[in-house]
Amino acid sequence: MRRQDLLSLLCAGVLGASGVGFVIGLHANTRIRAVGVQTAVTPAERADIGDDGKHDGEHAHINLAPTYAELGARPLGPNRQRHHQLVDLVAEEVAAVEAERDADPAARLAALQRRAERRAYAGAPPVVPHAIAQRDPAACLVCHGPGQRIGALIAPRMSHPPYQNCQQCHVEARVIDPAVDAALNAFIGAAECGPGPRAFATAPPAMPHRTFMREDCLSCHGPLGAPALRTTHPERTNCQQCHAPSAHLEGWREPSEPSEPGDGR
Amino acid sequence: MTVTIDRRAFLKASALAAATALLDGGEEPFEFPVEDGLTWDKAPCRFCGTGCQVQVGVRDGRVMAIAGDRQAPVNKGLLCVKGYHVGGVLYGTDRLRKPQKRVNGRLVDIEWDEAIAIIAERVALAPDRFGIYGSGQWTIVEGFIANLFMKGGLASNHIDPNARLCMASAVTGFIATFGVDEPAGCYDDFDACDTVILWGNNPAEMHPILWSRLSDRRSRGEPVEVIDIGTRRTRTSDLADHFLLMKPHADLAILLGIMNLLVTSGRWDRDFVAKHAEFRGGVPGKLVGEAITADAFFAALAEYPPARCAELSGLSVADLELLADRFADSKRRILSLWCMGMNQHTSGTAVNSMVHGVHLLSGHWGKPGDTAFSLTGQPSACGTAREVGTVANGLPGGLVVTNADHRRKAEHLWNLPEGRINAQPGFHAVQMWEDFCREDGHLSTLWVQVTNPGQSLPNLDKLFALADRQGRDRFLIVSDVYPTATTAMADLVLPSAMWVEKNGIYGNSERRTHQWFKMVEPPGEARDDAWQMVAVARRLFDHGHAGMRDRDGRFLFTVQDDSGSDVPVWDWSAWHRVNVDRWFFERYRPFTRIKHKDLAPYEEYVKARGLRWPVVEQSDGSWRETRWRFIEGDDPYVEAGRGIDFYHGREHRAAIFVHPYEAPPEAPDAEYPFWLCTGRVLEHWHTGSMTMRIPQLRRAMPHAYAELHADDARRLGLRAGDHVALHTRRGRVELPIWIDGRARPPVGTVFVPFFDERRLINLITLDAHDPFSKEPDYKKCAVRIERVPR
Repeated sequence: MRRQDLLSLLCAGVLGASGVGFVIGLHANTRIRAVGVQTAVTPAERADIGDDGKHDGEHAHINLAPTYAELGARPLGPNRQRHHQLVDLVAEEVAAVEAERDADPAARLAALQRRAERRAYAGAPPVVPHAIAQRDPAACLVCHGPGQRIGALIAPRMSHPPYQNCQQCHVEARVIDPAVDAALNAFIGAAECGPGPRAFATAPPAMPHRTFMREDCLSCHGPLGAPALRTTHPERTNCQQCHAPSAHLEGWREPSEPSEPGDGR
Repeated sequence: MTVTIDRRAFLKASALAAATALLDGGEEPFEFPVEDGLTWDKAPCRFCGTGCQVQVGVRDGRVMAIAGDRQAPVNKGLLCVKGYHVGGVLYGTDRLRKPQKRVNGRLVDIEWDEAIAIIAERVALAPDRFGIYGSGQWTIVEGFIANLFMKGGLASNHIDPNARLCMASAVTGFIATFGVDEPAGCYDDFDACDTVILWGNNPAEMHPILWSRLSDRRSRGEPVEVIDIGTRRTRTSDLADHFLLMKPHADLAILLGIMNLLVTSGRWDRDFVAKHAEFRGGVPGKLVGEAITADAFFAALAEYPPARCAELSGLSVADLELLADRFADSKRRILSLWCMGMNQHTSGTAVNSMVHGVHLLSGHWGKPGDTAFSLTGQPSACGTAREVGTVANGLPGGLVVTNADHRRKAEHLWNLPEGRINAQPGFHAVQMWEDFCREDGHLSTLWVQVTNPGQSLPNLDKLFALADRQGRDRFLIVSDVYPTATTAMADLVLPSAMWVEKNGIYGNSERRTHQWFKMVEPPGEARDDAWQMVAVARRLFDHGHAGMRDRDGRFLFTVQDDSGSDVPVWDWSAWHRVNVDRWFFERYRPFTRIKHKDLAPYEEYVKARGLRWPVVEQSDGSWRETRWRFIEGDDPYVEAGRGIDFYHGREHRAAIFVHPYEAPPEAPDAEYPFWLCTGRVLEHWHTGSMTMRIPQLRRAMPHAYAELHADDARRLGLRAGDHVALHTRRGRVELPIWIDGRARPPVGTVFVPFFDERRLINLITLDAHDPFSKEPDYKKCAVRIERVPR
């Protein structure tokens, strides 16, 4: 009996507390709304703010989010090329594959040159063209895990499984001046080779580079890869079924043997 | 650089276009080149002590690509950003290509013949006033030749390596504890441990490949616990389960606290200690201390109750209990790791031996993953400085000059007349430079090879005060690959071949000996460091210097080809006629068997991606490496049935030391209120003479900085990027400050990396050093921060 009394008392207490909490909550909510109203920007003030999101005038310190109604029409700063229509995205993918069928050696060369700009040699880990402000590898993976494209800007998908210490291999290089580099160091990096050799004209090409740390072919050859390097058949998912790796390039070879005496070996 | 790539790529594309035309025309089937045109060969990375193996891609006589070696047990194909760009070390545009002599204050080109003659003359004039300052980046054979030249040829022990600044305290810690140097464990322990305790260590930046080995285990879902004990938060701390912020210098207090907790709660491994260990107390001036009873050991620890240790160390009692709980858990495998945090320490030997001690006391020793493992900073600090014994009191194979029997053994193996080796230890590094800079110093000529003391010595104004030596008989010879702060003061600069421009053998942190072959030609007239020394020795021999003859009157560095005829290797044109490395390596090998550090024949290393000593021949003629020393089943020198056998210890036992806490030599006060700590960063290696010439690395970390806590900056009215002057009792250095940068020091602490030759932090560091190891304390001194108006 006593226990039941206690239980009822407890229940009443809990109910009472929730009731009070609810009322306080409602009250708090209105207060927040009131604050929201106070800081809202009037349409006149809004006019001070340029289309590109830069704002002048006395409200320059306020970062304004566009309203939902404005979202479709307003450009989004650096992300202005972002698509809102799935149809656009699909059309773009299709166009990319079509373009790939027509890619010529010159386009491939241009793509490889662009690749080389951020690598000391073929196979070197690329340097990072943006500031790295985050410590957590998860921050890198937000973009480079799935890979992202915003207009022409591509955050490449990682070609290898994730490691815990991205900056162990990839370091910042926001501005690269080849003349400065050349004055400092005369290293000449090996260029990417390719295209892969074919056994006969219509045979699938073998891989012209190693696969270690490039296990995910679609990182470069998928829809987010550079034009002219993409696959024409993204629907095929088992790349190595047709495209063979090379033991030489993979580095699978016998350790060096002493060669002829006389060369210091 | 890019221009050339473009050109090459263009050529390739042209070939491709031509080939496509052929295909379209239905002509002969065209075969594309399958290969990249590169010849690949193995080499260890040039930088740190991890000893990663790289594959070096060479075309047209140049290194053009690098790949992690997937067959290498150390790194399994992975490298860090330095390793991936190691090919660039050869091609800095200001490589030294010609010997240079200082004339009227300026360096002018001279011929090799004159350079060798100058050195030989300086040595002949005053052999006992000549010294060599060497390196943990010397190859094993370079160290062996230098050691023989000094100790066998000149009967002088004034030879010491830069490794004195780097891992000397680890050496003394091992010798005090186990009676013999170098770790019993290996990198396999990284794969088997349950808990990693980092004693002032930042492997995420300094040993990234080993750190990956741990962090990858965690990515795979293995529960590896990381406890980071440090004086600032680093990239390593970001992944740690527990970050324990300690006061600088207080690691001894932490160890005393753990031991006290284990002993007072009775949670120590009585069985292990009874079988394999003995208690010892520290005695000033005596590395091996003195044997003490268990009661005396407990009494010494009773002076350090947890509350006192917490007060001294800055850890809470709960933190100390957390650590003690780990050691009390006998099922857990505990791996302790450390590097410079513990070694560059005025109590370095004491801390090293007590970390071993806490493992031994708790029985956390001898199972895979259960060990105390010392990391090294240089690629052959172990292989050359330690194993070849290029130290002021050392001989190859762990022998010492102060032991008559050891001297006799070395004289026998070197075929020297009896009594040739001097029993008096030479100057250790700090003494050597102090002496050389002093007005009434003893040394008049110093030869520096493969290191940059003008930047790396502490308290440079004292230990590298060579600017005003006019009128004094001081002659500095420097063999290097680039102009450095050291060559800037040199009287004679010799251009050296480096890395894959010569044959070489290195030994890494885990007793692994790596061999590589010369792959490209050195630039200009650069020549091997070993050749330089052999050439000087021959010049002395030709002038009748008795020391350069062995017992039979033959030249000390006689090298023969396979047919048994002498090869005049002192003549550069003959240097590559035989494999000089193989020749001297085989002469060195018998030394390694004396203290069970057996090395296999040269050919075995050619075949392997390194082998861990002792490497012992099996009944089937194969050679077997040793993963874990002193452990039955792995170490062939452990007697059957003993299980664990510390065969170099007193009565086959390892020592558990208790050392009293000692205050740091300098601590912050009202005048100099901050702690200053120095060290490395991921992108640069040591003084940056190589990495600062590699664009990718230099761009990522272009200059040194002073790392500061935001609260300190606010208090001093400083913002990120402001320039400050750091003052210590020894001098002043200006640096930009970085808040919340690479790492986060606590309030009251400043960190500055030492790679930047334009901002020499070692102008103001402290030269106080450990009494046993003589290793200076770069990790803490008192500093004042002042704003510099722009």
